[in-house]
Amino acid sequence: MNERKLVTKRDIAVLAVLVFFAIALLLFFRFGLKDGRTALISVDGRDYLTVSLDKDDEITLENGVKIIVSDGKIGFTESDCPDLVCVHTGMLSKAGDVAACVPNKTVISVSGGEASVDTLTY
Amino acid sequence: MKNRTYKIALFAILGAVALVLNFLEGLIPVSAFMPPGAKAGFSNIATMLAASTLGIVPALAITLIKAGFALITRGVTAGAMSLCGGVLSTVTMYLLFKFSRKTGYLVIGVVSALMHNIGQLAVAAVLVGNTAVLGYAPVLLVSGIVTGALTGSILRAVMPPIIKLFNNSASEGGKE
Repeated sequence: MNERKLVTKRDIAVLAVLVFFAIALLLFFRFGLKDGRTALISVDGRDYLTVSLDKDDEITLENGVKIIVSDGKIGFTESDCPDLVCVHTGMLSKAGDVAACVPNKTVISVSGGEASVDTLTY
Repeated sequence: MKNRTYKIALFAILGAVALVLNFLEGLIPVSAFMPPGAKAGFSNIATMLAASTLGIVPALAITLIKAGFALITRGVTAGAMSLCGGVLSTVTMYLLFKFSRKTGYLVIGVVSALMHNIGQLAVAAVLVGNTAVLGYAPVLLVSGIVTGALTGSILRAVMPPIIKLFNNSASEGGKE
């Protein structure tokens, strides 16, 4: 009888490809991203507010979600959603970082923002 | 396992086990091992057992029970994400169990975990009306591989004794 195995030879190839992609993505997101300068807050699919990460700030949205900007980082601090994935995502600082509160349809995405100081000063 | 009564009993047990595992994994705090948005997916063990031994309908029924549980305990968003991820994952694992004898338990676990995450992300993207949530994809890819490998291995370990137990008691019951 041909019992199903835990891992077959072909599986090892599949796993190798998946693990390679996972490690590549993880390394890229850990070391490949530049510091962000602005963050876009969108609510219900619409751009709501763009904030600079250079200035500390505290924002309370109409849906009750609280967002804090501190020390060049931005993150959710309070929300009425049950899972609090948004708050647990923590503080974002790199361009490309994302935190989302799905129940409140709120997303923070950090971007490089406008031209950096280097290009402005030549 | 031919006896209908035993199938119904196994289905009920797996449904209950899925809910308990679902609840228990919710107690694992967010940490380096369990990044935000990721779940251990232990209840997938029950779904995989259902998909491989009972068929697609009971497996989807367990998925529906899980989604209902998520809806009641964690709200509409969690319910919708659980349902969509669960259905995608269950259909995929069923097809693998049915048509691919060369795919091992570990990869079935990994693939169904990843399909669960893909389904959930798709629902999240629709709900927030924004594809930026795909930023969670790398973390979910890594956690899906790790948790899927774990649940697939656990399934490999627990499945033979459970099937044996049911087959034995079923045939004994038949004799008497």
